[in-house]
Amino acid sequence: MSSTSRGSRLRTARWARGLATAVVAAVVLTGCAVAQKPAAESAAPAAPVEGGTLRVAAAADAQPQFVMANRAGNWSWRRLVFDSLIELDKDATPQPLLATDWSYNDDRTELTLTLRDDVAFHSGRAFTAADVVFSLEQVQLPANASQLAGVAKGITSVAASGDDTVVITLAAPSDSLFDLLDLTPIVDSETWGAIADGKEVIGTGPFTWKSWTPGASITLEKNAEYWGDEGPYLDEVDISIISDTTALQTALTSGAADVALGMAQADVVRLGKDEAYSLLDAGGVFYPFGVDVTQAPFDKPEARQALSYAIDRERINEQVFGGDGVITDLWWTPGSPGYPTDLATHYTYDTEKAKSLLDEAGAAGASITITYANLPVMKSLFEIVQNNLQEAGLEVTGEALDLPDYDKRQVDGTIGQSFLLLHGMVGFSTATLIDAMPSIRSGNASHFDTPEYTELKDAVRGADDSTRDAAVKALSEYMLDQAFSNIIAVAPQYHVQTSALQGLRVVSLGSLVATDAFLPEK
Amino acid sequence: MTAIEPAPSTSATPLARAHGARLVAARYLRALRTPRGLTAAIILGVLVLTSVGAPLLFPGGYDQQGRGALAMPTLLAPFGTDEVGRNIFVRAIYGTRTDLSLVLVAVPIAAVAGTFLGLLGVVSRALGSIAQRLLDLVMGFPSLILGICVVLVIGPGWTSLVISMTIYSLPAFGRLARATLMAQEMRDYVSAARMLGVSRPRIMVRHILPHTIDTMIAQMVVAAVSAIFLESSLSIVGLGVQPPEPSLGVLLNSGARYMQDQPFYVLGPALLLFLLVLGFSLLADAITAKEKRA
Amino acid sequence: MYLVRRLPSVAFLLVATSVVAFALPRLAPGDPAIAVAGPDASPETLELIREQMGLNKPLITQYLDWVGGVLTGDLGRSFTTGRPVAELIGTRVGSTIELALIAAVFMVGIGIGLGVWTATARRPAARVLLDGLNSALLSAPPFLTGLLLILLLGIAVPILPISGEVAFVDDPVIGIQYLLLPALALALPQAATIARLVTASMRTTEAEDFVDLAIAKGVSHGVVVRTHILRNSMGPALVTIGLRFGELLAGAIVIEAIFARHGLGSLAVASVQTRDYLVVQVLILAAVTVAVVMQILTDLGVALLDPRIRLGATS
Repeated sequence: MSSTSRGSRLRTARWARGLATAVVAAVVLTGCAVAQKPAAESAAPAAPVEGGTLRVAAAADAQPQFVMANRAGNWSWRRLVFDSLIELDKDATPQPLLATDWSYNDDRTELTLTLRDDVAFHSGRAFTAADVVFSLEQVQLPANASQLAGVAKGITSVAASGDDTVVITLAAPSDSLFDLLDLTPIVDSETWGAIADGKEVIGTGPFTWKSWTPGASITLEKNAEYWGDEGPYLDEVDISIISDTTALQTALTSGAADVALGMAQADVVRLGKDEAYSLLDAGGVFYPFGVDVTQAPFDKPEARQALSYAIDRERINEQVFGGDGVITDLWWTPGSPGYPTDLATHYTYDTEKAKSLLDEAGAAGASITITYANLPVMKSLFEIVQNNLQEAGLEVTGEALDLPDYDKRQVDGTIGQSFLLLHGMVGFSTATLIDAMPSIRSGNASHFDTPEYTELKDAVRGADDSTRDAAVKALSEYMLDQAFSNIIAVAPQYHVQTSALQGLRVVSLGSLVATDAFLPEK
Repeated sequence: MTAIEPAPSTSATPLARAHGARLVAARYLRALRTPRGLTAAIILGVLVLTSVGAPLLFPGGYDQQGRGALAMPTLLAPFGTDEVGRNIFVRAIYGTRTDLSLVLVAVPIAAVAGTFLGLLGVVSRALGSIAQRLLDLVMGFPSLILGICVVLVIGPGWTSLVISMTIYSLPAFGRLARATLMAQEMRDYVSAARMLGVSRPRIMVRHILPHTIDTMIAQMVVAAVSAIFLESSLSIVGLGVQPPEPSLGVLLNSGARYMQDQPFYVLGPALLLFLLVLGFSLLADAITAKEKRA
Repeated sequence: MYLVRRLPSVAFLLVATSVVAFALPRLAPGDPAIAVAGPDASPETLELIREQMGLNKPLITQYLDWVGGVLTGDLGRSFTTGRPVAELIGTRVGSTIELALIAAVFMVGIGIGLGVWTATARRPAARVLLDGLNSALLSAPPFLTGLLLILLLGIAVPILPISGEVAFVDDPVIGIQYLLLPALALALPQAATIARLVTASMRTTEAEDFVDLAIAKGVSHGVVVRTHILRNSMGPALVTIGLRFGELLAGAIVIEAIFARHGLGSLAVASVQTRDYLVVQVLILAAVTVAVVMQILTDLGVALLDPRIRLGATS
């Protein structure tokens, strides 16, 4: 009918006009001021440029009251706002920071450090030896959650001798002391008590803490009075908290951030192949599969060893970590002094052997519950581990816990029959790890504790260069045999930055150091 | 005159009641013969049959892992493989099975309970008021928070998901029923029935309920999709279906992370979800379609 | 008059909500004390912190303390960050509101437009295509649409920003660019729902006698569509729009996450995950209040459109 076709033509015309208007509007809007930034071009290393704002995208939120611990949420700022006494370089040799010089006494039970005399806190107060005493006393307290509190407990006293000298006395020589001095920030005794709400975070570092919107963003500003000779070059550091892994990656690739912390492994691998981005080595993570030795049927070592034979570590490395991890059964930093390389592949992937060991232990077809924290990487690990164990004839049930539940059970010591854990501690020395790693230290989640174990650990703790190899080997053999904790992966961790950014470093297990960082001229 | 109601000639009078029931049944069957209805029946039929028959079609289950991870589609694996080498097509079928089992339980319960709560206003004003407030409470409650809390309390699994989905879907049915009620109440036949002394529950069931059916069916499609999305959001925070069990939501989430490496990981399940939604939509349309006037 | 009569039931609703909001998060295992104490704390330290937080007081006392606070304007302090809840919410509410509003505009505009188009399409080919389009939009979860938009319009052809935000009130031109993609991703499935209902309504109304009468009188089709069909279909559409708005807020949580916007959604999820009870409670209460307001507005709207409906008859 003519009226209908006229009507429909009218309608089509109307829609077309509407669409055209929308398109024009869009073009005008984007033409006006474009919020999209063009991708940064990678520049050749140049002379430091003063000024600029570093934009960081971080997956985890800050936890100021735990700055003495190594927490992912603090990586983006703890070494910008705070300094430590020393800094361990790539060879684990201490380099001066707030301490300029140090020496042991003859039997290595006393370390004397000389401190800088030109350092001031952001509040204006001068830094003295008393602040070192305060910080080292604080790090021992469980409330501050330092992973190295165990090491700190070996300190019998910290004494200031004048404003510039500190003497640390140990109960026994410790191979881990410099790990502790590297990790522990020197904090301000006047404001430490109220640090939790993040209103005042005072340190001695190259940047001052300006503001924090919990869960959203942190703003740091250049400390013009910084004691360092060169730097900081940047005026400001803006940290945006982005917990979604895709959004984190998008922030970097769309140019909204210069560096991203906490990216998913798949994204890291992909961007690592792109020339526009560089990877920063941020230490690594141990992934143990632990078993409660007080619960049947895994109270027998054969049953536990079976679990280790059942797991396909190669596939885990390939599919969860992009082939980037180290395939090893050991709990120690690969390549660290005393690392028994021949023991690293003690357990091979052998489902038949696993089944026969389970038969031997009378555990064939047993049910096992695996508890794990509700994180994407732990979920991926669980998928493969449960598949492997099902093939060995076990009945697997998974239990995913979210963080408060998981943490609470760790405190209560009731994580479960078996569990997948993660410890971001690659980089520590073996002596430090035996006291710091929750899976293997005293009071571990597996409830494993024998006199022989203690004896072997003592030997490692007090070892020196001549005795270390043998001690670590003996301990490793014992632990592999007991199999109460089975390392299924050791994976490196990376922060990803645009190649244009210069001078950014990563130290002590993931913390950024931006003292020498600068952005090239735009 | 509100628009969601059948043409006046089909409004039920007591005399036409028995006749009406047969008419309704005939109407549903007739719907299947329209092109829309037929397409819907085919799509849904295939999907439901494959889902139900999944253990027979794919006896290996949904957790056959292997080395070939994130592989591109092949004949045996039309959607390729996932990050631990599992056949995504098989997982998608099992996922549809999981979702259908959740949705085909939760949505009808929500529809019936929600409509009932929405129509309570006929029986007594006070009851109707309380029912509305309860529905308001659930509706205003942020759905993801509600889902998370229910799952945390009961523990992850099928039951807690069904409960979350049912509670979440209730208010929509309630409000639409109430809207119909508000419109119908003023109609003459309702006043007439009241004057004749017909009891209130009977008015609700016999007279007003038939008018709500059409919107209810349309809403059921929407509710089914929303419920699937709810499960998907819960999977993002790890509280949906537990690994290694798949659901369309889980697959979409995981697939999205690997979109640049293996796009079919997400496109495959998305296609299945699209077909499922299309099937339900067309079916709903076919059933609620009006007779063409001569 | 109608509003006044609604007050008692609204009050009842808010009280019921406050009880549920208080009780539900506390039923889940774990509590905020652990977030503050850290996983390496001893059980004694944990108990001490719980005592300090007042979590050991009888539940009734805690509930009454909280309600008393809310009524006097003190929304409490977050357990895990020590910041006032009002501050935590205040810094983020703008982000969520602007996202919700722009998404609502898209949702209504695209929804009604698509619905009208589908209802008035004459050619069968167009109808099939539009049905397919409708189902496609309906079945696309917001986060998937969001990711696709990020890939297509943010990375492949970078014309819009896809990470972060700029407040609309600070800089409208740039702010709107940050809002376009997330709002679109959020709005599409809801728009499809609205479109379906509009189409259904229109088709039903079209079949009514008075439409035939109007056409017979010689009124042009376009006018018939606009003045008669559209207006009478809007009632249920309005109800749907109100319902959809609630779903928008639900979808906003995920959209905020993938577009790196710092809004109430991520605050809500993070607070539940760390068991930061007071934040969760206030957010739930606020969400329900907003929903009630929306519902009242919708009811008023429906009554405006259809004079035969007398408000308050059944509520």
